[in-house]
Amino acid sequence: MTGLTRLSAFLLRRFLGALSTLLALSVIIYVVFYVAPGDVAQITCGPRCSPAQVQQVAEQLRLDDPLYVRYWDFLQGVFAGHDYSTGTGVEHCEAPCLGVSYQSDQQVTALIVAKLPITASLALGAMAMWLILGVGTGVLSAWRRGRISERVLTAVTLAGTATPVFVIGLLLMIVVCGQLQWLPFPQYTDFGDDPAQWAWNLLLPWLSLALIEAAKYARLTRSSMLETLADDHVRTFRAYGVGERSIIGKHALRGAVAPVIALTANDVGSMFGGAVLSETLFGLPGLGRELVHAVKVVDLPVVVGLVMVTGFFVVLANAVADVLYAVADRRVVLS
Amino acid sequence: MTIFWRRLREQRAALVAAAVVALLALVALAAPLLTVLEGQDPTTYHPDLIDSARGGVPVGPFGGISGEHWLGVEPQTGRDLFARLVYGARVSLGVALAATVVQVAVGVAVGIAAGFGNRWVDQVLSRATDVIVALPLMVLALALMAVVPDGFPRPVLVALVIGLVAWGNMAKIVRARTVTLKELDHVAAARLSGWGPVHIARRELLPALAAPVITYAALLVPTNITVEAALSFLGVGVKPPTPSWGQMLTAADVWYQAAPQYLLLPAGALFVTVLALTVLGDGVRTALDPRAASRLRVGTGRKREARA
Amino acid sequence: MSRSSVIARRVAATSVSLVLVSGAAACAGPKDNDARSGGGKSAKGGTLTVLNRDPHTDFDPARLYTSGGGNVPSLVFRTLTTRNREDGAKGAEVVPDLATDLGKPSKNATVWTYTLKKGLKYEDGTPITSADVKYGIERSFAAELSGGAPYLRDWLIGGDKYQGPYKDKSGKGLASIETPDERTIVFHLNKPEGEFPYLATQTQFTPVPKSKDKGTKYEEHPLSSGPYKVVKNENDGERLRLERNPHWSAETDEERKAYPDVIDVRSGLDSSVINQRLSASQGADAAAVTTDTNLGPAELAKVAGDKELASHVGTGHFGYTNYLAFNPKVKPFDDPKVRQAISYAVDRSSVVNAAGGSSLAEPATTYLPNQKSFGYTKYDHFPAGPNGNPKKARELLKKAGHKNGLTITLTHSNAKDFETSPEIATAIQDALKKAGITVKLQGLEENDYNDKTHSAKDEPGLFLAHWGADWPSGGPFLAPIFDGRQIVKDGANFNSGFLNDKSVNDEIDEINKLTDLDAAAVRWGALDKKIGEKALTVPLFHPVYKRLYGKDVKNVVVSDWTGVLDVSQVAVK
Repeated sequence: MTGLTRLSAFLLRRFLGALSTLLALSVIIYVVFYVAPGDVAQITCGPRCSPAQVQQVAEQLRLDDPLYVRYWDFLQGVFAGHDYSTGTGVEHCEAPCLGVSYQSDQQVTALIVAKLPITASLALGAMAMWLILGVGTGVLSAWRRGRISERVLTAVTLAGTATPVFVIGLLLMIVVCGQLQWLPFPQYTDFGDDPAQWAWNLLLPWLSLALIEAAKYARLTRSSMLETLADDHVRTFRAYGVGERSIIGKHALRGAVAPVIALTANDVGSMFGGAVLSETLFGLPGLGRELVHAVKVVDLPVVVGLVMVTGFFVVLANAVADVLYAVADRRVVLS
Repeated sequence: MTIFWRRLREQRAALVAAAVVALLALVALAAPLLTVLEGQDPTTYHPDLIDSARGGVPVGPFGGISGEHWLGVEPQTGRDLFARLVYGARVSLGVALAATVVQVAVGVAVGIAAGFGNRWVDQVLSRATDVIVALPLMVLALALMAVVPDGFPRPVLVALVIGLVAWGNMAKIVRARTVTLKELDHVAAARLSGWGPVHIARRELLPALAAPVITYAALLVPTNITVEAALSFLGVGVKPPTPSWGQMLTAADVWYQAAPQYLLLPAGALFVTVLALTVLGDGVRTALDPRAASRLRVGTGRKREARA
Repeated sequence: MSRSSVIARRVAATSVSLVLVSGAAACAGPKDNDARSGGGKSAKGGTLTVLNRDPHTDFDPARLYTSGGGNVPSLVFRTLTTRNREDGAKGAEVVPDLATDLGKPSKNATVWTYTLKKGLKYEDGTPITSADVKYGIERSFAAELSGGAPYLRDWLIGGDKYQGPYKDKSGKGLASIETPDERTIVFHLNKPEGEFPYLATQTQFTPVPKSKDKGTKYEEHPLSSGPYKVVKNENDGERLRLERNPHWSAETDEERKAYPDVIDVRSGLDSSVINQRLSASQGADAAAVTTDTNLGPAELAKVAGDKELASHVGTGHFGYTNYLAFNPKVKPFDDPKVRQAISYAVDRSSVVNAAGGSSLAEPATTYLPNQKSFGYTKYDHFPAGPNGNPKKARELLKKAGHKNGLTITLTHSNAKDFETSPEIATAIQDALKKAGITVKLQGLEENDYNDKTHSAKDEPGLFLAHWGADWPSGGPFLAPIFDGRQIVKDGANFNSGFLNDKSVNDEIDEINKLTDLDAAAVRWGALDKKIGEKALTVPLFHPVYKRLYGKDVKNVVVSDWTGVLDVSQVAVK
């Protein structure tokens, strides 16, 4: 019982925390865009619009209202939805309505629903790959510590880290897709349509991202494991003649689980909004690329919507991490 | 402290790495001197050294390497690559290191405070970390651009932007570690015996945190160099014609087939830097942690004689 | 051909490569008249893939800003007139499309009358009427559907006040467009405009039936009048699937060939990936083209060494000029001698190299593009030679009272476009150094750059600028930049030099009266030469477009109007 109440208290706190994070994010963005350069009405209207036409657009988008009024409208939309005109008719944007794009007249919620699976596929697949690659290398190098093979492994993973995604990704594409033709040029196929094709088409982006991230995980795994290996209780096991393989596999790896989870949660969370470069390079129309475009054309509703969704995933990933963390390391209580 | 230096000196790999890092720093500092030796500078165009009709590939084998241009010239402009590489080292290393310092300082402070403070402190700091992690680089860069006056030195601004935007992971790692440490017997004992939090943090937590922090910080450096490249897209990177490795990499990736050395040089420089920093980081960590040296040897079945 | 030797050499080099390309294209698929009449190797059928960078976000004829109706849009939207789909200079001509002719001017070219062809139908089989053309134009005035070119607003009587059919509840629409019967449409302009037939190529002249208008939602499924209809529009124009429109008939349309059965437009791709895919030409990519991605310098270097690949490159010229713009209100650029000194000091070779090399850019000494349809008249008022003339520049600076050199600021954008980007700015900086001019670079983020360079109030003293042709004539090239009456004080201003010279304004008015487009071209060329003397701009280069296409692509037509291969002509079988 107490476990359950503690969990629900934890969840409630987390929920309130998430809400405050998202509100803070939206306020920050409204303020940033208020001071940042870029005339929204002129950009929306087109480069050759006359001042009178620009004014009409500004009125239609209600850009002349004070900042707090616009923010209030936004909040109202989130909780109560709102109506907007298409010129010939009126459309309703259901709550939670994150607004309607200035530029494309699409509802932001619909836009996010369309792009989220793409980013999620990229992030989760890459995560699986970098965990296998990174933790695997980490375990191997902890096991083979001090030997040549460890040094080689270290150098290989570091080469990945030292290379930006647009270099690794492009090189892999030129060689693997263009010259060897082992993999197709990346593109997004809906998971529901054809799961095999989905994975096959995304394999290259996953691999590129994994190569870049793996070193971080390998180093973290290795150092945490070495830490545990030196702990007194492990020394005791060893003194009792427990095999090295078992010590590495069962005990040392355990010490690495918690920090690896923390890092994973964070990386996955930020990849939901931060995989800009890879999405652009691989031509995957996900959230990150949409965000860059929206920032460029000062499409405030889209930016706010996207950042809030990203923020949501960061918060969610952290909450999940905390729970897993408590499970992995019984010394920690949910707080 | 003397023990630390002695331990560091014992590790050959770390010494080599330290020498490489020192050499890189020296190259960066002595960039003007080195280019004078070569007789070139990083900004002069040499249109006669590139084949304009073919998109501006350098004339001659290996990207136009010659006695005058030691590493060849840049495609499209004919600017001297050696000069750009050594000048680029200044910006890239300087910005990346400064940003890392900011990240470590903020990350460790926030992480310890969150992990060690009471529930409210933890909540507030963790949410603040969430906000920072969730705030895209572009948005933050835009905000800073709007606020910072035009005359502000660019490299400093870039280091600040990178430092302030990417301390989240460091804070998370430190917090997670602190939470674990808090429950350990010796820390708990210290708390019970009435030590103040600052005292505990300094005496009990920081030494134990050094290992993960140093490991992670060594990895932050290359990431920061890459972020610097990304920032130059957004208009808050270093200003051209000032070279940086990140910018060189960005411009060079498409050239890998036509002028490979243009890509390989900054990539190689970056790789050597990262490798050296990591090995040095390992060395420092081992030297800091009295148990580390023996730990490496435990169970490897090797009987290595301690030389000291 | 009395050009300076360097330019002559370049033109020779370019025409060699043009010959090469067209020769090779002949191997891949004949594109002479035989092929066009359906014989030869070009045949109907297959799927043409279009690999693009930018999605067609606003696939609504009211919102598109195109030169000559666009490439993919023109497969779906027919207009009163259109561009001639032929190679080179012939392709810069305007020809009838929905209309029977180029329009009948009257009352000193202030009234233009068009008659629609017989038997024109939409994709649903309903007939196209002149009222639909009128409605299509009217809705482009709505604030909800903004984005098009400014000419309708500026030319039509009452255009500046009209706010589109959604706000106008009278139901009569714009009085200056009359539709006396179902096939006739009459335009009443507020001044003579001999180039009206060019304007009528833009997508705003696409018929839209009022009953089918869905406002901002119309872009999801616009009613086709062309050979293809939209069957799928995913992610706001990221992926368009076009299939044959059964009600389009080739008999009413001499321009669009429509060989493939399906056009699959995939956008949102990285430019280097597009070029990699086209050069690999695997699977569906063998029948692929791009309508928005040029070969970059690095890729060009690779393609140039590969004969097979080089045979799949289309080369073309679009009317476009990259230049340095002065704001004479800012010191020291108020002094013509300073402006001339900078004109002399510019090193066009290094600028051209920074823009991608001599295969991708041609040095410019004239503001007008170097094509006949623009009325190109060669001049070089401040001859800098290929590498600049720093000596002459120093002399001028001394005369202007800057004995010890000069420090100025050059504003550029941080966009990676090889046009107004840092690469070009640093090339200028390096060249001016030789003339004793220290250049400080001010790199602005794109929006900031656009705001500042188009603001009469904040315009920088010296900045990198470019201008492209709304149609291949001197009119839309010179008037927005040099017509004193087009200075906009409180909005987007393009007259960066704030030139308001009565003789220039008058000449613009006089040329606009001409309905003989060839005669007008000659006068535009002469006007350009005259304006050039004022040194309000330093022309830098005209871009050359080189684009890869897949190995199965046939019938490649590249006109001087668009400079890129025309998708309506391509065959993949």
